[in-house]
Amino acid sequence: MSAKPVPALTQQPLSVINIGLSGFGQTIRDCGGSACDLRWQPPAEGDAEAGWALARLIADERIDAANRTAYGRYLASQPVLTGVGVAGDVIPGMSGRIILHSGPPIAWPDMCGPQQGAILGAVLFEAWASDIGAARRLIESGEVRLEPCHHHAAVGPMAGIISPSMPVWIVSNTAGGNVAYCNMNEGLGRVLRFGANDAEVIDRLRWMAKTLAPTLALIIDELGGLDLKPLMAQALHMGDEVHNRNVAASMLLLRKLSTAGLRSTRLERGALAETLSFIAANDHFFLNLSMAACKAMLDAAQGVPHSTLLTAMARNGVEFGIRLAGSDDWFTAPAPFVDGLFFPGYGPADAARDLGDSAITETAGVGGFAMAASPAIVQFVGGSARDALANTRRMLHVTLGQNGAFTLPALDFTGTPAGIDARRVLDSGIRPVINTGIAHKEAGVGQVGAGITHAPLACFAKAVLAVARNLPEEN
Amino acid sequence: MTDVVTRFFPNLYRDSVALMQLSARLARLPGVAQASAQMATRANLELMKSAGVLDSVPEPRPNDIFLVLSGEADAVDDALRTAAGWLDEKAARGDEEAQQEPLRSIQMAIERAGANEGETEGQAANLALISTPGDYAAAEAMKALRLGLNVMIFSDNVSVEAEVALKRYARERNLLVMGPDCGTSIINGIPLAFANVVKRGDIGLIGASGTGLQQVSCLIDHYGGGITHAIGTGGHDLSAAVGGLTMLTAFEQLAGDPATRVIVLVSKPPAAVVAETLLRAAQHCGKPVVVCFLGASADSIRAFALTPADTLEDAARQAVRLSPSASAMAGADAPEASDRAQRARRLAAQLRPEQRHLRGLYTGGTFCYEAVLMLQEALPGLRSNTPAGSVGRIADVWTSHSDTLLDLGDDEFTRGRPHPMIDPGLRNERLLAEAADPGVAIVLLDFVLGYGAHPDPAGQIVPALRAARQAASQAGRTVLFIGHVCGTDGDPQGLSEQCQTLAAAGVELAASNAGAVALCRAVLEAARAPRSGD
Amino acid sequence: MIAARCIGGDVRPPSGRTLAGRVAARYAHAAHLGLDDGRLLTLLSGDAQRGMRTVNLNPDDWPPLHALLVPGSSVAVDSAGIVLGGSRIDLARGEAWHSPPLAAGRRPPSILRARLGQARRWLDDELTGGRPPPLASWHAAHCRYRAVLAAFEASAVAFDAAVYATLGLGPGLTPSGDDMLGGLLLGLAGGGDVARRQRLRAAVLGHVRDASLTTRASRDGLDQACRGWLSAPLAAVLDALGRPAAAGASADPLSGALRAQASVGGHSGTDSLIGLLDGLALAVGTREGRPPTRDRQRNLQP
Repeated sequence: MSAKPVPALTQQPLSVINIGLSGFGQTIRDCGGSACDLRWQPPAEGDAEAGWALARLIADERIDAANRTAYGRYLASQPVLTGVGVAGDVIPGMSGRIILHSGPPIAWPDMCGPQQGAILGAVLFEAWASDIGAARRLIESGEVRLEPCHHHAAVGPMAGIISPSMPVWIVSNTAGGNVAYCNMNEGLGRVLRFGANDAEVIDRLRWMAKTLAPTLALIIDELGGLDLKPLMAQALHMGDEVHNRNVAASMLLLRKLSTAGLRSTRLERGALAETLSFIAANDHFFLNLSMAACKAMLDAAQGVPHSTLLTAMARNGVEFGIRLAGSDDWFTAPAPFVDGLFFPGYGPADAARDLGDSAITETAGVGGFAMAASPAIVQFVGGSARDALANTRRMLHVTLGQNGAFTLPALDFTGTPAGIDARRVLDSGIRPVINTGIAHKEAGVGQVGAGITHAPLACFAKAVLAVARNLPEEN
Repeated sequence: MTDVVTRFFPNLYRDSVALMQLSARLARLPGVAQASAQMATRANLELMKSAGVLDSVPEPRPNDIFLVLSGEADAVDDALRTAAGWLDEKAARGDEEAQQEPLRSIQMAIERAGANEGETEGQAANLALISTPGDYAAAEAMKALRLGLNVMIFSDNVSVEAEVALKRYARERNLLVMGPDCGTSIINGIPLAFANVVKRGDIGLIGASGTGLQQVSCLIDHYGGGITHAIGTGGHDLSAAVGGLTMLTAFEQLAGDPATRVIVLVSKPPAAVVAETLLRAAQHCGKPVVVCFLGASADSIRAFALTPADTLEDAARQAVRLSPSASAMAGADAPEASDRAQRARRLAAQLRPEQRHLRGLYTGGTFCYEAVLMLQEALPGLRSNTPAGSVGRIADVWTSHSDTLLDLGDDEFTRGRPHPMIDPGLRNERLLAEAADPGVAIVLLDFVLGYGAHPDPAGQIVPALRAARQAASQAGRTVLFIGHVCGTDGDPQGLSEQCQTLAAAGVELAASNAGAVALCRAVLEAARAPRSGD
Repeated sequence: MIAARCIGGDVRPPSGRTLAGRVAARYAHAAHLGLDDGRLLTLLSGDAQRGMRTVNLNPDDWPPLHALLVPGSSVAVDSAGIVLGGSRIDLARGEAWHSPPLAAGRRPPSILRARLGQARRWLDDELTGGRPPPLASWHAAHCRYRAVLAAFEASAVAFDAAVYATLGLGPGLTPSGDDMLGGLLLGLAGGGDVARRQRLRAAVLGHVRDASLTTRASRDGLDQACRGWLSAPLAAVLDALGRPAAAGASADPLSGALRAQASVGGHSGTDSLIGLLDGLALAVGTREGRPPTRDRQRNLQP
């Protein structure tokens, strides 16, 4: 970077940012000067090494340029639902015995209960084993590859299990050419994504593969694709934040699907009725599409060297991981517990740690970042509508900008905060807010609550140190 | 140098009034000569070329906003970033002001100020004043520099490596890094951290020592002069490792400051190689420069055709003498000097023969250092925790011997407790102990006023003085208390009030530290001389 | 389903035909839809400003619609409605708006002359009043536009060059030069100056297909001016200019109409008005309508 001389301090009226003793700021104001006091805390939770590394990345023109590029690609993305396919056929690298899971990479013995239960269920669903015991032995033998969804352009909520025979949404970014995938939402209660794996669960998965998916494939064909950004934008104006509240979006989707389905002559009426009833009964049906859309938007930004833009936040129930547009590495910290309300009969002692890829929505500027659109969400933490606004506003300080595609009526139709910059998170100590469900720590019990959690700062410290390491010295 | 930069903002739509307001706001930024935001139609682009704003006509992109800025290269770059920020829609703040997120980082503070621009016309921040724990101070300073701010680091315990990295970065960009461990500065009349309220004038100060700067600026005020800026560099700046990087930048800035007509450098003697560079720069700056390198030989400074000063008081005096606007030098030739001998004899007469020793209890390190230099010949047994010249280091700071001068602000005293300028408890205890020593003739004191210092240093010491005096008198002795007050009448504590309180408590006051030290020396000499007559 | 309040005469395609397009731009209270046939439809919250390619919507319907108007997302328009995202704007029932005929016959020249002077003085005050100081490019556009007025008597080549130099020049989403020429076209037509109108129309049409010339919104505006289509505020001005002054000045519909037109956009309203008044003045042969004043002229010097 070339030296840029600036006018001497002595030739300007003084205007001070005061960091530390607030008395110094008061003195300046008493003497007619201008000063603002920071409410300062040691950055990076007091990790002086990360703090110094961070300081040297602030306002680095190479990083800023990389972020502009990555953020621009994210903004320009146009996710379109183009179809439904079988995971093994459409997802890259899905051949052979492989099961995808949520969050950063993790070995079988280290996995949390719900994720293990769901993987065993997937083995049964694939008929690679005849009972749970055999399934466990198969997994322990190492013959089934276990890999993060995120390594395969995919995402999955909670346990995030995708096995080769499962149906998946296919969402294409028509502006960038990349494609993202997500499994389909099974509904609430005893479901695979919370680790349940009994016969009812497996039967439902089989029905989804056999009836739901082919029906949806025909309907989407009839529709000729579906622009997801406008649909999400509309849902934000109807009280959803398209992560933890998907009521409006699911209804908007159902409206699209039902009219197209009824119009089509290629569909069998029974299957159509079952499909539409299944969707109508599930307030969260749209979540998996929202996630795929967000993944498509963020993957568009992947691969810009030195960028500190977050392209993923994901949890496997043990670790919370983030990825940056500048590299494919994960930066992890222990997954936090979720601060929230529990369903009757459950309490914090029942909760698993934060789980699932669904924080991709916050990474893409919706979910918790769009909480201002969805005041109903804050009731999960006993907050007020004002808190929802404050949460969205606070996120403006950690993002590169606002996404004009997702506007917030409560904030005068300005866009949601979008494009998390790891540097800004670490510098301000403001942790990205995530709206999420709470899984029971035992496999198969299901969702026991919902609430709000925050990304742990330690991931960001590691990420910033890595960026600093890989950045050539300025000359 | 004038620079022109251009930028397309694709598919952005703002109406003409918004674009004009944007252009006008940008054109008002310092260093920006012209700013224009337009739709990038062919005709608009060609007009800019024919008006000489553009060298060539870029490909028209009629649906994009085209921004052209000309002016000083750096200012234009900043303005471009500012413009990009303004063109990005930001959430309305409206009546939610009260709910605003507290400012948690320098970047947030800068952005908040940017968002408020236009309503408040506030000057963009240009200095970060950092007083965090030392472990984090360097990182905050680096962020501030990278965001284009100057920096004053009050914190200490910053590593030399970090200091060098910060100062190298800053030096290339004409930014100031005052500190680490910089206690005082005055920029454009605004006191920073521990500083006195001094009249404005035409003398610019640069100092590696906080109390040194305070003394010189207060005395200039006292002598009828005034200052433009007082720039603290921090105590390590003139070491060979740091190389005086801040002092060089500060010097260039004062040399180029039209309001500054005289420059004063205040420091302990720098590393030889640094001194050479600095004095050479001073020699050619075109303004009179007074150099007060405490303890350096006057000849080494005269060799560069600069004005040497051997004490802080002398530096102030020389500066005022050289100042074109402060020629009324009445105060500078203090009557103090001529009266001193007589005063010393009067004071010496109160002492018993065994009272031969001096104990200095300083809160200002540079005052202590200056006193050591001034007394090294007169008091061969002198020891101090700020050794200089021929004076050695005291073995145990907690036990005084014969003649002892202590800087109570030194690390050994302040570890885990506030600085004695803020908390007088330590000095009060020590004062009682010294006065109880039958061999002690004089306790030498300093009192530092100004922002950041104790709100009433004089009042705080009165009970201890009274107790010490009483104890001595019961032992049949009189202990002399000699001191000076570093401050001005503009300071919150008020120089006159403080002096009155101290005088009423029996403290013999001089106008400067050098004056107080000279008085001590004269008293001791008088006490040791064979008594004549009565 | 959102019902449009008012639909411009050129919005709905013929029955049975569906036009595809994309959201070209979105503002706080308006949006442009770019159709594949080259037209640009404007969606507006509220119906103060009606136009031939404008759909006026109930302000209560605007917030939910705003969310759908994501720039770049696809839209489809048929004679019954506009489909965007998951929603539909019903075009079948709203009130239709058509540009009134421009024919000059009903505006007696004597009245027009008197009223033009009045309007001119109002506009001069408006332009010198509390508006933000215009950019240099506004002044430049104004100079070039004056050159077009002078070049009506010059050679075809010189006239064409003067028009070309003015198009796309000036601040705003519809650059001032375009607005002035558009207003001029309408003024000439409204004043019945067939010869000058044809001359200017031919020159503008000759260039307006060039996409690099000016913004998409402005190209569409020029296209409409060439067709002689008035927006509602301009139509009101033209109508008021053709009637004698009413007794009480406050009741005079002219001042209300002028104010409404001047409040359109940032400068577009006044720029179009400059053109309209000049066009009418040229047509009826009055020396009124001689902007700018001497002082202003001096300001135009670089």
